[in-house]
Amino acid sequence: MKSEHILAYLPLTETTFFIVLSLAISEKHGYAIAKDVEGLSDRRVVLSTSTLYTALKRLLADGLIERSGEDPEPDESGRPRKTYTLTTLGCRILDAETVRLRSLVHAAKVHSVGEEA
Amino acid sequence: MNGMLNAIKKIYGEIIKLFPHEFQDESGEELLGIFSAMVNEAARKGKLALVTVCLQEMRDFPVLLAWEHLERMTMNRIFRLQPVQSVLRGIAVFSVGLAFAGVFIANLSHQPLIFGVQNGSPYWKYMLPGLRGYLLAAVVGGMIFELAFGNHRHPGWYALVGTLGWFLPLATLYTLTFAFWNIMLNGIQQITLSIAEMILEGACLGLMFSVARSGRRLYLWLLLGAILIFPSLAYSIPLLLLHTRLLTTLSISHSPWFFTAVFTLVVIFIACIIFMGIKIEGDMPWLVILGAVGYAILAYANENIISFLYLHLALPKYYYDPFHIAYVIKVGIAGITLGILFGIAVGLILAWQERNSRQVRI
Repeated sequence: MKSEHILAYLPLTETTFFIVLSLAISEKHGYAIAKDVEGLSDRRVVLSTSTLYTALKRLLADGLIERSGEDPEPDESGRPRKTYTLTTLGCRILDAETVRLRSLVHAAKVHSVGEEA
Repeated sequence: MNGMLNAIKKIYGEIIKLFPHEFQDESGEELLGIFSAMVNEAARKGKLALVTVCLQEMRDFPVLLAWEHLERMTMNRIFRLQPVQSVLRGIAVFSVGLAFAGVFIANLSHQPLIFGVQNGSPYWKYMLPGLRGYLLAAVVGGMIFELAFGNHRHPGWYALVGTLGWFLPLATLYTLTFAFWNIMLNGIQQITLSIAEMILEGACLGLMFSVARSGRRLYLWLLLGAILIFPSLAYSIPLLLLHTRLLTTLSISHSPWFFTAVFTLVVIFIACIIFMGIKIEGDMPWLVILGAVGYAILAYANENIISFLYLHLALPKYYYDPFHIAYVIKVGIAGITLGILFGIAVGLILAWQERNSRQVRI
């Protein structure tokens, strides 16, 4: 995969970043993703079902995530729950975004050190 | 609390039914499952958390709903919808027709009768050359009418009716405008008369549809008769009044009687058009009514749009020389914008009538 191709996806929105990050840890169903995003973002990103669905749909279309089947444990009403997992492309994009964010933080740190001096 | 939770989930289930069928089959269950889990957890935290989750959903779902419908409806399908087609046809007919009318009239028809008076020639001699512009505009209007609404079984019928339908108000108002001088009316009288004239113009344009759809030659003859009678009366009545006034008082300054006579004449014309509409439709002639009411209002709105456009396009605002390109452009743009507004209104009425007639057939 060419790096220019990966760069075309960057920067990720905050919501997308947290969803991808959540799936990097393990495969999850929709509600677990929403809860995980809430926790990872320190409750700054609270997803409604509509926002979550729209984001998942776009990530599926772009090939960053894929459906990995159904959760063996159904929901409270007994409905089966579709699970999602990160693709290789998704992993690479997440890595690239993390590197980008790290460089931003580094730049900010250098700048603030310069100011303090 | 359980009862409330069940009610909320049920309402959400009903909301999902508003989505396209493909979406419901593919993701309806999944969304309902996620939502149920969210509200269950929120309910455990308290009523405030539950309200917050519901408000969040109410905020976000209309966008998703609109997006899902739009995504499944390709542009091709949108353009094939009957109301969209009617609106597009209406826009085509009136934007092109009114733009051409404005441009032709601006270039060919400005021939104030005051020259005729000065030379001692009869008025009508100075009116005929000006009618060229109106006839050309009417022919173009008729051709667009044929292209947009004509059917293969009666080729040329819509073009003929359209030409006469456009020519009737143009010729009548042209004759009326130049049959007397504006100084014979005061400011309020001039505005009142111009509103009545716009009502007449709009009603005539609406009548054009009634005659065309009827497919009957009798109504075509009626339209032709109106083309001969209306301008003749619009020419002779003010002239008669003017001469009478000059004979009696030797003054042409404004008088309430002059206005009353001319205004009544226009009202009679409007009444005749509405009567013809009722006769043809055998019901409420909605397009004639819309033309009468809507055209004047939209023309007023259009004035503001044109002022806005000219302000932002930095085009010269005060050019009244008909041969000046800026003036022609201004008249053309004004015609197009008014045509778009009026075309949308006419298209919507046509779609509504089509829908009603389908329901009756069913």
